[in-house]
Amino acid sequence: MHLFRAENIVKRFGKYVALNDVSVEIPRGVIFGLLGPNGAGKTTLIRIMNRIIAPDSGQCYFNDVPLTDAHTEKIGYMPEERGLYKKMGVSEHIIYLARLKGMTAHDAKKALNEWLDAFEMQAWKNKRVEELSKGMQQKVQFVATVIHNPPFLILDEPFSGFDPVNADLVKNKILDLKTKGTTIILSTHSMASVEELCDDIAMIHQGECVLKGSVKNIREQFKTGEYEIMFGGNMVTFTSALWAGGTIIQQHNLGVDLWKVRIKLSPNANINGILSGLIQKVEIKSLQEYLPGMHEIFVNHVKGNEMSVSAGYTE
Amino acid sequence: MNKILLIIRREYWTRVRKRSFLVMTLLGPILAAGLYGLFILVALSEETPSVRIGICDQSEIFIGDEIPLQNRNGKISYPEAPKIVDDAKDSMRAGKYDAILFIPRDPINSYGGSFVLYYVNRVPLSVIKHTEDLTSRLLENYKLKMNNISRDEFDMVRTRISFSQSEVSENKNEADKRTSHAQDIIAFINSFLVYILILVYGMQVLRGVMEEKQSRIVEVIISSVKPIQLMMGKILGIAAVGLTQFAIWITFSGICFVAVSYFVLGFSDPQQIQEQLQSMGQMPANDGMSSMMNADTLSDILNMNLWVVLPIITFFFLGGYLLYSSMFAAVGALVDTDSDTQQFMLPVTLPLIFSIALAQLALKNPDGDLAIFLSIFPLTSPIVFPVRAAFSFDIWHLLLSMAVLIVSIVFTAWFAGRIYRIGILMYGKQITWREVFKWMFFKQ
Repeated sequence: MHLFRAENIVKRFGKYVALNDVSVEIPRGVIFGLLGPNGAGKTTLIRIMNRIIAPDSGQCYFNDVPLTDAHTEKIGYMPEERGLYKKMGVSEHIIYLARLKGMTAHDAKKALNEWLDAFEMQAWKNKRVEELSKGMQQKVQFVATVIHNPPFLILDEPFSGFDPVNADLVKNKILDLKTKGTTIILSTHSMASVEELCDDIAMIHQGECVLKGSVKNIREQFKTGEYEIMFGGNMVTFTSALWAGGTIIQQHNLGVDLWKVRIKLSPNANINGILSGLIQKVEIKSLQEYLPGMHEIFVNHVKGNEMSVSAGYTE
Repeated sequence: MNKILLIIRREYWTRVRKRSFLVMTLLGPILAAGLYGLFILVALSEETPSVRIGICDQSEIFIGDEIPLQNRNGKISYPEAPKIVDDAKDSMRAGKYDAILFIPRDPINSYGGSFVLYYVNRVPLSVIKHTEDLTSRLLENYKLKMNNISRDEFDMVRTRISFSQSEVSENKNEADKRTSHAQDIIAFINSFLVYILILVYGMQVLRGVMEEKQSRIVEVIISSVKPIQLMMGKILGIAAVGLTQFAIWITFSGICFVAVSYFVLGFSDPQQIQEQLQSMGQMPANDGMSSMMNADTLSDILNMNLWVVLPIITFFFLGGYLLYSSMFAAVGALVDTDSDTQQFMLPVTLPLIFSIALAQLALKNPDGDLAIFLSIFPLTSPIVFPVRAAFSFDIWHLLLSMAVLIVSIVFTAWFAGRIYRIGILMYGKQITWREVFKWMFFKQ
């Protein structure tokens, strides 16, 4: 069921606890968002998944088999800090990295050609890496990550450094790979891309996994009884009709007698009751339950945790 | 396992294809051959200055029938000068002669002491030597004639002894060895060559590791291979570069050596070159040169058994390189920026510098206890043993030294690997020696 599991991972660097009993399960064929503020322990977790470093305790499983060095050929990893040998030729470099992942020279060359076509990089293949623009180097790095067609991809901030056109290109390639069955971890700070791409997420904060599940469920879980209503009519009339049923959080005037408001229901109030009151006074154009964005959930979580931690110190 | 070969291949090819490798590889032997050619030319050009030595002969033995006005290759001439010394000196001051040779009225009884050479500007030593030889020979002839002795009879009686030195080996079955300055020179060249090669290629490992760390490619690579594989692949790849360069140097130097000999001396057969050099060594004109660097020495170098010396310096270069380069790799992994390389470099370069300094001591007494100890102690043996290789040495010293070095390489690589795998992932943090020791000895 799960392509990859990390169970009860603990990692300390001296006295500093980087990961404290973290478990994540990554279902097959999903794009899995790994979120968390800077220094939360994401990179440490990713390095453990890649067997770059070993955990102090805990165990990773690939296809329900304990993770070994042999599995590293099935993983494609693009670190956040990109790096290539500056003096090497583009083709030569990609083939070298592909062969380190266990591809034969022949297969690597074939796959390279396909990827160079897809990224319109054929003209660049004999240039040296240092001659390329930064965006170009990012493309080379991406191709080098996926060329051996791994079933499991770990991409750390894959869109940083790309212009919007190329970011879209990479995004579409990622979605392509997903439809072909690749399981992908996306570690990113861009909540928009999480909402757009990720099926599941795990959020790491101060070395612990504080939130995990499907994006849909999490947004559902954190909804706060807010609704967005668009209506034609007078704002004063609307407010009086709402009365004690809820409070207005945001309001936008969209035109002459056209408004959009976000309201938060009062305890014990229900949306049907409020709607029946409103409907007699103003013309309801639309009504929609408001779900919090990942950005909001992220920020609230990080801030909330920090508050509870500092509260803990004052006691 | 194949992956380490991939790494070795990349490290090898990216370096061998560089222009600087080509330049260094070709320039080295050309430079060496050039020096050799210059050396021979200097040896041959001892007789070239054109000098006029006025003969102020008061004995009248030399001037007249007997004075041959001999010269060497037409460069030294002996015209007759005024008999009065002061007149002769005046002519010399006027530029007529470069020097005045004063021959006393009775050269036989006043003996050599009264022969005087006057000059304004210094006369080359080789010219003086030649003139002395010539004058002695003429006086000899005169004496022979007076005593009715023929030249042939005299040559038969005349005796000149020059010791050649020979070291007797303790083992009866081994041939005795000729000892000469050539061995000192070979010994020095051996140790210096190994020192330079270890330093140059060790630094390449250091720079290679730093480049991987700074460019951050290292994280991509070690998601495919173990850090120790990357480290060893780099070290072995660069070792192969070093051996390639070394092999080309040796071969190409041989070719250049023969070529230069051919053009300078006009011989292509090594046997002939050797003979020519030996005869040059006996020529009096060469006394003007330093006794360390005469043509005799060169012919002794050609006599050395290269098939003993070459494998030994190759082994100690390789061994020393492997020992030091894993330390250099660890240093490269520890540093973030070029500027803080120094504090970690010193403990690695210091033993190297000590070794080359101590090699000079070993050179003075290659069979002494100090030399024996230094040629076995692993940090110094790669540089000190090549010194002893030029002389006779106990075979068990060699075997022990090799064994100790190999064991040390394994240990050092293991410790260096522990530092390396942690260091390469550390950024933006000043690493202290305390931490490094912790990485070496405790589980991380």
